Order: sequence, then C-alpha cells, then structure tokens
Amino acid sequence: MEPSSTDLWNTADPLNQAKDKESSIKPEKERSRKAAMRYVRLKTQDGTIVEGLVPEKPLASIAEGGVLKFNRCYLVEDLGKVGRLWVNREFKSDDDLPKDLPLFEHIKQVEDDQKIPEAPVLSVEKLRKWYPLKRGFFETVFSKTEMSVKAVDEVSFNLSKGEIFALAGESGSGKTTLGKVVLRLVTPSSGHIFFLGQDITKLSDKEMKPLRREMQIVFQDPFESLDPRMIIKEIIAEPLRVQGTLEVDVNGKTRTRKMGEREIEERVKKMLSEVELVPPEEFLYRFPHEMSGGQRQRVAVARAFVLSPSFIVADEPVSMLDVSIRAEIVNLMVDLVKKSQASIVFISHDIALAKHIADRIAVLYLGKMMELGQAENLVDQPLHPYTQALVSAVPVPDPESKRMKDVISGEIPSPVDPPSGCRFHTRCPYAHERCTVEEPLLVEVEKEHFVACHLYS
Amino acid sequence: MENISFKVEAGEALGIAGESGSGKSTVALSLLRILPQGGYIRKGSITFQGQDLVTLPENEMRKIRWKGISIVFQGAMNAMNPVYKVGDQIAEAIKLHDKGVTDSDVKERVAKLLETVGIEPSRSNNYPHEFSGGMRQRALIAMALASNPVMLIGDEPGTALDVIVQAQTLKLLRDLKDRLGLAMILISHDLSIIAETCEKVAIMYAGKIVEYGDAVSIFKNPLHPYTQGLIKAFPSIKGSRVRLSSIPGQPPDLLHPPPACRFNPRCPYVMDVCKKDEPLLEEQEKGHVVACHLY
Repeated sequence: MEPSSTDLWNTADPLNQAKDKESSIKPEKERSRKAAMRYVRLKTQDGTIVEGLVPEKPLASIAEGGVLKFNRCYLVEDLGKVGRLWVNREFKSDDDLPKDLPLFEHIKQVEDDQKIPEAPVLSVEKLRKWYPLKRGFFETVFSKTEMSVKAVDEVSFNLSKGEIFALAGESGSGKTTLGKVVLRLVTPSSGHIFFLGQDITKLSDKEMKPLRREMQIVFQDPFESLDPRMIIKEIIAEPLRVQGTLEVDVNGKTRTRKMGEREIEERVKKMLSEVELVPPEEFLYRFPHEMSGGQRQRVAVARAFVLSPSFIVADEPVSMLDVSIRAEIVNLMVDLVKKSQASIVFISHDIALAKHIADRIAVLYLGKMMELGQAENLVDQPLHPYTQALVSAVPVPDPESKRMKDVISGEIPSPVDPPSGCRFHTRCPYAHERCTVEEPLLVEVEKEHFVACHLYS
Repeated sequence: MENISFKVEAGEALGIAGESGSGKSTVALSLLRILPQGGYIRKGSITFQGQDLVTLPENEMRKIRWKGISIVFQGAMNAMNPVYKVGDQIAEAIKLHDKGVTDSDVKERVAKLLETVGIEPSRSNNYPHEFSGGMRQRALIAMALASNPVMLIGDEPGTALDVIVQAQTLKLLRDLKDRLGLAMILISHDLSIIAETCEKVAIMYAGKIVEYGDAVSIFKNPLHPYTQGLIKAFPSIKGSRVRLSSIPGQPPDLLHPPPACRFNPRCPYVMDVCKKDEPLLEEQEKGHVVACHLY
C-alpha cells in the first residue's frame, strides 16, 4: 500500500450517529457499521458531476487492496457511471458533512479512459473570506454582534487545465480578494482550496513555498508592482533564485537545485524574448522607470511565467494601460497560457474583454457568485438580472445604437451588512417578496450555465 | 498641441478621443485658460459667444469660467475638498459668481442642483467621504452647473467609475445636455463612451487632430489608420469572439515628434511621402475631415 493513499484513506473520522438522523444517507446502516465516510466527486464520461459519500471499505473490491486513488477511472456501480475521481476529502466534524448526499456502496476501478477529463488544477469549495471590523471599546462592551466585511462568501468553482477563467463584477464585488485567497496570499475564513488535488487551505507558509512555483500573480499596476531599484534582469531572475530549478536525479526523484548565474541569465533572456521585449540584451540592465507602461507590464508577465507555473491569477492586468496597448498585452498572455497549458484566473471589470478571451466567466456581486457559464453564452444570453445590467451598461462603439435602455439605479451596497435574501434584490428590477427572504442557490439551468436567481428556480 | 480647430454649438456634444499624452486634456485646460505653469497659448483664437478668450484679460476670463464654460474633472475623489460639506462647496461656487444672492436663495439653489443630478437634497450636509464614487461624480456635475453655464467640459467623467455607475453618469450628462441645451465637450480615451454621447468626434494623436467629423460617419467609415486601429482595439460586447487587435508601437515622445505625419512610425500603410510632408486636414465626405496622405 502506498503511504500517500494510506493516509488518505485511514484518517477519516467516524460518522457521528446523532446528527445523521435528519440526513437521507441511510442512517441505520451507518450506525451499525461505524464506518468512516469519505466525500467523493466524480466527473463522469458525459461530463456531469456526481458527488457522494463512500464508506471506508466499499463492498465491491477495488484494485490495489481497496484503496481509492486520485485521478483514476472508477465505476460507481450504484449509478452505473464511469468517471474520474477528483476530490477526496475527509470530514473532521459532522457539521462539515454535506447533507443529502447519496452513499456509493460499490466502487470499482476500471481501466484508464482518456476521454474523461483530468482533475481540475484548482478546485474551490464554499470559500469564504470575512474581514472582522475593528470596533471601539464601548461597542465591544455593549454589543455582542461581531461585524465583518463579507468580501467573499461561499464561492465554489473548478479551474481545468489550460482554462482561462474570468471573474467579473463591480469594484467591491470581491474579485480581487477571491484571487488573493485562492493563491493563499490571504488566509480564507472557511471553505476549501484544492490545488493540484492537494488541500492547501490550511498549509503553513513553509509548506506553501514549494507550491508557489506553480502559482503566480500578475498585478494591476506595473508602476507599483516592480521594484524601482531593481534592474529588469534581477526582477525576472528573483523567482528563479528563490525557487531554483527542478531536476530529476538518478533515482527518478525530482528535487530542486540552485541555478548558476549564467543559467539564470539565459533563462531571463529567453523569457524576455517570449514577452517580445527584443533584443533581450537591450532590456536586461534597464530600470523599470526607463520603460513604458506596456513594457513594464510585459516584465510583470515575464516574471510570472518564468517558473512555468500551472496556475496564474491576473488581477486586472490591463486596466491601467492605454487602449492601444491593452490588446497586445492581453494577446500575449493568452498566447503564453495556451503555449504552456497553464490555467489562469483573469480578474476584470470589463466583461466585454472577458467575453473575447475567457473560456468561462463568473459574475460576482457582493462576494457571491451570481452566474457562471461559457463566456460567449453568458454575455450573449445573460440570465441573472445583474449580469444583464452589467452587460447592458457596457458602452457600444456604434453611435447609431444609442442605448435608451434604462440603467439600473443605485450602487453596490456595503459588504458589511449585505441585503437579506438575494443580495441583488435592492437593485433588481424583477425583485419579489421571495428574493428578500430566501437566498437563491447557484443552480444549473442550461448545460454548464449556472445562475443564482429565483426567476429560474 | 498644435493646430487644433473645432466648433461646438449649443445643444451639441463634441467628443475628443485619443491615447494618454495625445493632448486631449490640454485642449480642455486651454479653453478655460487654466494651463499649468509654463504652458501658454502661442497662437490662435478661442471664440466663445463672439469673444476671443485668448486675448481676454484675466479678470474678464474669470467671469467666463463657471458662468460661461465649466468643467467636470476626472478624479471625483480628489476634486472636492474633504473638510467642507458638499452643499457648502456648491454654495461657494454660487456665491462667488453671483454676488448679492441671499443665503436662503443659495440654499434653495443647492437643493435644486442636487435634485437635478439625482441626489437627495438632504444629503447636502454630508461630507465628500460620506458619498460613494458615483454620487461624488454627480455632486461635481451639480457644482459645475452651479452658475448655469453655457458650455460644459467633461474631462474623462466616467473613467474611474464602475461600468454601471459610469453608464448612470453618462446618461445624466446626456439628459442634462438635452434638457438645459448645454454645449458639451467630452474628453475620453474610450471611444465607445464618445460614440454613445456625442454627435461630433475629434480624434487626436500626438497633439494634433487627425480626424474630425460626425460621430456616425467616423464610426461607420473611419478613414485615418489611427482611428481604424483605435476602433478595432476595443473589444465590442456584441458580435462573436475575435482576437483583439492593437496598434503596434507607442505614442511618440512630444519633445521630438516624428517628422511630417506624426503617426508614420506606427502606421501600417506608411508611404515615403508620410515621412516628408505633413498631411493637412481635408474634407473627404461632407462634414468629415481627415489628415492622411492616403486620401
């Protein structure tokens, strides 16, 4: 038995019996078996996702001594579906346990099926980031209610390999916070982040360091994100110096090795030509202030891609640039992502731009995901009233199509005390009573098109 | 900035578009004669209601500002004084320009102005930090309208705002223009904003107007290669997914502008003549002039 799979399998907590009376997962059986449960999600052959619980020792035999492994092809016999298992999580407490999930008794490994998609690079589950508000002394004495800024509230999504995933929304919608949380630059308040199948939600900084090689960020403002006292060569070489290079030794194990000066310079030069700062020799010894905004952003892109990461967050990378240069930088990033098969979370308030470059778009409002779908479909046929408002507010460069449509009124409310029920109900033209009390869930209304709105449920 | 000519009539909006550093804002500041120190108007005339503003003495010019031409600046966050109430700041503008108004009159006018831009008059006792970005921008517009100007200049009025708030602000400006019959100059780097708001468009590149004309004819039939590039650089929300196109190169250094046509180093159709002779603005269609050797 492999050590990694062993601890995946054996450390699960036994299910508490009392709590389970309400849940539909066969309480009788569990009580008698006292089995540890494991939450699994299966992406099946037809692309649907099946989630459920698996008992510690499934009744049917699994190859390799009954051990479930990541990223393998399994057959859930209860449902007759074949798919790849890609999230496997244990539950420390019963409150964590998803209610109303089916229990898969029979799981069998099948031969690998290439058609079934691989595990997502990044998987985010019910992620939440609340910032507590500082309160005065008397407030803490006289009022027990804690106030916090609900920047990101229960957001879930998956990012597949090579995907461009856009986060759109107004300022204050939590886009940037979400980007920082998934990189673990900010610690989430609750929820889970799985990066390459590993739960990174609670890793320490030290444990995160080797993973940082795989996750990078491009910031909004290239005037602030580059150190003015460093030359371009040093800026791009810094990640290489910190992380070194990966090598496979004689025993077939990968290990990191420090890079030599000449090697670093070669790598930096190669990266500079990849971001079209040619000839690279001309730029190596410049300072950031000797370059234009577009060139600086190219340096920032080079710095992010120099370690060939598998995941990049680009936080409004072009909003500070001039219109004529914007397209160049966007195209450059799209090309690099396609070439290196990296996945990218592209944060942008410009939903028109997102439509042209992203594979999928998620629309955020006050920290909640309102709509998620294929980029073109979402912008052309927006379902959520907020997305509709966002799309119709984008100016069209055609003087004959003067928008006489009404723009929704008001501005984004404070995330400290978001509206009850659906957070958008205060500005929604279709709001009815249900919207003020009940929070809509994100449901799939068309294939791959999710929306959180009572109009569709 | 060199050789700029245009005309704006009452109830009409002119949009000035171009990259940063193309001299858009300098045009606005020159109209009001509030250029930063060291800048001055060397030649030419600005005729406003029959008066030449360039030769006007400073004390006369002060009467034109706000009552004749007023301006809404870009950074709504920084354009207001944080330690004065919003209402008082608007009242100050009224008192300065209309001597002898009573306090109750001023109060009434402030309330009315705030109502025109869609802010509750009771909020006039708030400080700027208590306003949201969009409201601050509205308050700035109210302030610009304080002395019933004939012409309003908007210097990137929507740039720092979110799309929805930006759309609200532009709608307000459009409504005000129609309702009050204002002449308007809208300066923006965003062509789509100009397309939606203005009847006439001037495209500036490196301190010169390269194309000028009706919005419809410019957007339907852009003639100058720079205008074509600028229009293509904007991803449209309509239509299918395309790879974005850009204008290669960067705006020139205005200390040493390229000779002859200033766009020649970046132009895809560059010819020998472009490096020797400067193209002049010539009429190609009715009310549509362009400075390019292609025509």
